Amino acid sequence: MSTVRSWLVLALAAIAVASLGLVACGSDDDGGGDPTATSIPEITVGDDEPAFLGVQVSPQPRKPDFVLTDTSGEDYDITAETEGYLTLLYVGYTHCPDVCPTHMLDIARTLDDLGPEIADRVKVVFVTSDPERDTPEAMRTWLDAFDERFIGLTGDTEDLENLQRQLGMNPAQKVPLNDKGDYAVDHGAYVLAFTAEDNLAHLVYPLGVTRDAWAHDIKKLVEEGWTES
Amino acid sequence: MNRITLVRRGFVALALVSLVSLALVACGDDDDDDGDSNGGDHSTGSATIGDIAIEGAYARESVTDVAAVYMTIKNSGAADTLLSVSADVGSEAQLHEVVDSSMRQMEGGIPIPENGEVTLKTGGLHVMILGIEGGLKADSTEVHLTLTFENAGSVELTAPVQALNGDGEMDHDMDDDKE
Ligand SMILES: [Cu+2]
Repeated sequence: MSTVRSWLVLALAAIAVASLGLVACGSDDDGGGDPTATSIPEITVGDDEPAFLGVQVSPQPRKPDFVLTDTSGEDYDITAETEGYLTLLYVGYTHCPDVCPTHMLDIARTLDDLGPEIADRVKVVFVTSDPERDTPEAMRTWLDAFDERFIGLTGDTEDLENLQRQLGMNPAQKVPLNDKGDYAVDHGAYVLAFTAEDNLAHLVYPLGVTRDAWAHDIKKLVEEGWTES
Repeated sequence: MNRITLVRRGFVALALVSLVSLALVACGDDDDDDGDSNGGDHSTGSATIGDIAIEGAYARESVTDVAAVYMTIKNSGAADTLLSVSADVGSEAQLHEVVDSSMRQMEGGIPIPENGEVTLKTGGLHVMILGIEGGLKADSTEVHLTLTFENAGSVELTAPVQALNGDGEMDHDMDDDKE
């Protein structure tokens, strides 16, 4: 519990620091020019320990209602297949060296630690933001490195882009890394947790969430569902 | 109100979280000890050149043709810059930074502050190796890197490959308690 607690304190402190601290650090780089600096949302931080350690979002994205293609090449109706499960959805790509494998690894090991009683009530859905390289086979190989239960989905570009828009994300964009055809993909770097009872994502998980925090929230969301307050 | 309430399109807050981790790095340190208790054999993952000491370097196993390398770079002298990295695997190594949801190249290298340190870790800075045929397998492989600093010069470094299925939590864990 202390680890969970201290993560929280750090996170809250971090957010507080972010709104003031960038200046205090004497930003030795470009200073201005940061588009987010002018659009900092109102954030209120209280003293009490919250029920969940994920980042609460409003309005809550609804679980996307799309039929995509899974790693065996079959149709996958997200709404029907994940009904009744806590659904952790992540939009990413397999040629992503940093953020994507970190999320997958943290969730996979957390589910291992929680055991089948909890893990069997969770579906982890990876939707590619890079359909060009992420064939069903490529996704299967990549996902199996973390957890064979993870679901990988692709589809046509329009569906994938609309799905991201519905989640409140900017559709992923290719960013060239050199002139030899290597590229990265900008994409939403957080995991959305759609609760079983209402299919809404009240909580999202950016990078930096510890496995203790993951375990705490997954267990609570599975056992108790989403609770306000 | 016992929680973080995000008014408006709340995702901006996520950007802040990642900005903060960068800011902390840029600010120097939160004096965490280096956690380097096994003092003896540092044949892999560390190297020294001039005032620069590199510690805890590792690459992450990858089934695709790209992989990230992480490390802590400590500087006991005047400000320096990590200009470039080359590796004995892949077609190319680049210095990258993750900001918000995007990964970009560090034009001009990574500044290493005077008497300070910079940690390359998930969600922040990393060395990205591209074009690794067959990916990077744990255990069987080490990655040999050459790091070139503007002032300190070039140094060779061997990084072990950390398995994806291991339980080693990545060092993005902001917590000191270990289980
Ligand atoms: Cu990169």
